[in-house]
Amino acid sequence: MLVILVPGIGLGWLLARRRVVGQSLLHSLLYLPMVIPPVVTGYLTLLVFGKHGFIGRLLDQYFGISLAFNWTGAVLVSSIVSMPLLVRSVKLSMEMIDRRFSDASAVLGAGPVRTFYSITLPLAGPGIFAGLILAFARGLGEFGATVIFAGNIPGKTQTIALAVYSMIQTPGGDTSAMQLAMISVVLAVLAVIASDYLSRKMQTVGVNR
Amino acid sequence: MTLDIRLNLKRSGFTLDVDAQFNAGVTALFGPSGAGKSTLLHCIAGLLKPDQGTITLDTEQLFDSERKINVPPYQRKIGIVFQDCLLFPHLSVRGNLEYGQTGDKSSRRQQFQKIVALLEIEPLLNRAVNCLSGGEKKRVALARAILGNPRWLLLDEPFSGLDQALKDQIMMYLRRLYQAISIPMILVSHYPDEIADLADEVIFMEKGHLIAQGKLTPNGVDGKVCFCRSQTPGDLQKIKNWLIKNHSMRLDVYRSYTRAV
Repeated sequence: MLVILVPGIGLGWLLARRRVVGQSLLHSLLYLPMVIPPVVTGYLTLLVFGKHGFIGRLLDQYFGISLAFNWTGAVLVSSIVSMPLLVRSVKLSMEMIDRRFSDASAVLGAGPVRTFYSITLPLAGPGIFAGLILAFARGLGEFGATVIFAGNIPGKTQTIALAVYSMIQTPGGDTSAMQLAMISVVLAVLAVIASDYLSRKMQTVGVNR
Repeated sequence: MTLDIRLNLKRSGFTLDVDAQFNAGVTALFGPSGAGKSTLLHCIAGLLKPDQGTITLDTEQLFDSERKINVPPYQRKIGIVFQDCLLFPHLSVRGNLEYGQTGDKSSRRQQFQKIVALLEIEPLLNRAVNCLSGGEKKRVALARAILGNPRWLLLDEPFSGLDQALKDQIMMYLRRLYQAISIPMILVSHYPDEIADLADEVIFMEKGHLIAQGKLTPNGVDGKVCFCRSQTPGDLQKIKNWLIKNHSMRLDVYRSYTRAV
């Protein structure tokens, strides 16, 4: 969740406020994980970050870091899969803020950095949180990409979804599967409610200027 | 203090072409809506970049297209009161006022108290910005701009959206403010009575062009006052006709001159 916060906000801002070269390409690349089957995402991640993958090999050689079948790998794939939700939310909420607040800030002597953290960020705050919560919930439920890239190692790379799957496969594991399933439903419902509330708050901020 | 502006800005279907000198005091930018008054203010503040030209404050170049100088707005020290105030909605009134303040703590507090007293904002300080009335918002926006300690203050239609009583009230505050700290101001307006009440000089604009500039002196006719300095005799005639037609205002020329462009 924290891993994606900074790049997520950065990318959202970039897409909302700047015209960069290759914008539409960046745009579609970012949203890809949302539409590609998670298993495929996991497989592609494995190809790139795995032991023999392009980046994975470099990481292994120079830093001795191996992401695949490790908890860091689980973090990596869930970041990739959930990032679009955050970026989208950041982008939408930043687009909703009247750009002229930045003008008002500038004529009061605030440079771009100060304007960003004292005006843009707080105004987009609820929207950013909403996206973060959604992304977090998405990460909790991660199954396909995680099972491919990080495996299903209890206590290490097992997400809630994976645990439920394992329990169902085990004879007599139905009850615990049920309990876990309930927990995940409750978490998901809470996340959606919270994110919905924050988005609405975002709208009122945007309107009452 | 003088603000010297020569600039050219092309937008689809609109050209702003201005050559003007603003002097210390209150100058009114007067003209029908769509004349480019707000656009000119945004150029002066650095929020819009002209295609060509220069903007010079005293001896400091704020913008020069040929020498590729374009001082960013946050370094220009030119304040704006926007038409719709643009108070920051996530900050209290106090937070908004303190936002642009610089300098050491004691001088900041002193300045803060002076302006707050002058514009009678004290009871509003801890309120949320969204709970202010139109007139209160204007006052806070005015105070915020002044507390940013600008060298020149630009007011973009400060009386728009206010009824007559509030308009008079804000005008009173503006006059009081100007008497206390004689900061040069440019006031955008399309109401002759606002201009007559506040300005020392008037610049007339139409369709992105400057038509005339002049000092304002009372001429005794219904308290309506007029200017006089113009670029060409033809332009002057145009203004006369326009003023009579749209504002039934008589134009008395006491000085006119032709300026080589």
